[in-house]
Amino acid sequence: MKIPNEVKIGIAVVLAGTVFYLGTRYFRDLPILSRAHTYYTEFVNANGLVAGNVVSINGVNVGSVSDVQLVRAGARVAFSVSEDVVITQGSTAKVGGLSFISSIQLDIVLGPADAPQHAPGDFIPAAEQVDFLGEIAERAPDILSRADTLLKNTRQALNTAETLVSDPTSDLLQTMSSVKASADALHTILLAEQRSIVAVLSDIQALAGAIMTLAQDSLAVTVDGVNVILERMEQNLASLETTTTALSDLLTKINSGQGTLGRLVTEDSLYTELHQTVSALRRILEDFEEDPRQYLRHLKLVEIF
Amino acid sequence: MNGVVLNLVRPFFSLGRFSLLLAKACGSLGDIGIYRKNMVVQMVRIGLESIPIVALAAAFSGAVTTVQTAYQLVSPIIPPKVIGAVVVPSLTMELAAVVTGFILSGRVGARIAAELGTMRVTEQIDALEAMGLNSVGYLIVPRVAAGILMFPVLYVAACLIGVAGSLLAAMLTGVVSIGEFILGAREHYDNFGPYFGLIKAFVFGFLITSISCYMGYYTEGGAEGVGRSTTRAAVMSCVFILVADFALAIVLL
Repeated sequence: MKIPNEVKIGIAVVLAGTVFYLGTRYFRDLPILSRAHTYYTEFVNANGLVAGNVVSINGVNVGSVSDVQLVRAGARVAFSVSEDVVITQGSTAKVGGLSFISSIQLDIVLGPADAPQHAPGDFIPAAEQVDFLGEIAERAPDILSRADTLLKNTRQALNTAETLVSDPTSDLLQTMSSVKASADALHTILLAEQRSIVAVLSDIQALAGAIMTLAQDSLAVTVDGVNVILERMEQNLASLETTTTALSDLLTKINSGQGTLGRLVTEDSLYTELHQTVSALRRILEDFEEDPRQYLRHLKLVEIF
Repeated sequence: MNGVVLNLVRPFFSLGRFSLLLAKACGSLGDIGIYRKNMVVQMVRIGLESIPIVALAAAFSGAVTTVQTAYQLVSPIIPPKVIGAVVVPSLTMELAAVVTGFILSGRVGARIAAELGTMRVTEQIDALEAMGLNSVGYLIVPRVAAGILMFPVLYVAACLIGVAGSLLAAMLTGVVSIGEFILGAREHYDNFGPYFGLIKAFVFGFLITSISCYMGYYTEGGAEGVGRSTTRAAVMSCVFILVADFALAIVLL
């Protein structure tokens, strides 16, 4: 099927128009299909802001500057942002970037998150501008004065150093001569005693090797001894643990009143009886001491014969 | 002496005859029935059939601009994204329109001059006039209108393919990443740039076709005259493209 020329031309024109529209929106950082909202702001000094510059919120590109016009109070700026970007009331606009380092851009500093939203076409007030370059220019004379003083001081120091180096009677030059003479003497000695020094170094190396060997052997013996002691300590600790466990069981039984000792500890009546028995026995012994015959007599008569 | 005066007067004579031809063409704009069919044919020839050569030129222009910008500008203190900031405006504001104009000066301008010149020397134009047909309306208006209408389409195609060529060159050579290229282009994008290029496209389209029509329509001297007109059409179209380019930059930027 042959396509009529009119259709071909129509398709070409529509495609060209679409590409032009979408391309300009793409490079303006505007949403390709969704709409954009336009807002306005005014600056006393636009600092070189032009149509097409980026609009940024929190460092994220959200649109572009549409137009910059000169007005009596300064510069009136129209800018477009994607319709899904919320600009709350209390937001401010400022010109960011330095033109000689990077591109100028329009920064929006958002207001409180819970504040009402700006309607499209609203005016966004400008933040107080800080003229960075102006501040540098203002302080330039002071900086230059300090730099000038620094250069003068540097020049004086260099002149003094030059005098010290060039004057044959200066202390610095004499000191350097002495150092050089000492270095020469040391060099001569080193050359003369080179063989002796090599020999001494060899001896030191051999001695160091011997010390290392000795240290390694002694260390091995010591480590073995420590290992034996540690093994014994481990066995003793195991035995101590067993004894402790048995003693703990015994104390538990005593506390719970088991066994003779336990009953003695826990039951008052037994203690009382024992106390009474001991008291009676003491009396008997006292009587026995006072009059032993009284008891011996009974023994003799009844039991022995 | 007469020769010197003639040489001095000739530019004014040519300008006057060119203006009268355009005035006659403007007077024929209302007779759309005369040139409508011919205009569609010319739009296909001037516009659609030129797309391949324009695409080729634009792609290589974009690629070369990318590589040369990287070679000349990028340094430790200049970030690679500056390539995008330079290449895209260069394409949209200058290269896409001018390179397309130069190519069409040779391809379209020469053909128009040759067609009309041949018709003139073979007295086909005189025959049209003798039949009572408006030869300017029938031959010149459709060609100039087709040039004015289709040149912007070629410009958009050149921009699209030029940027694609730039991105391809950036990707192949590794001088800048695609992301940095786009970032730089967006940061330094000028809203007026594409519209400036579009205005140039309209103007260049008009200049190429009207100058070529003028050269062909007033051809004299047989086959040799046709050759001379063809050459002059191509050369003069290029010269006036450069002049118009400078004038538009002065006036609009």
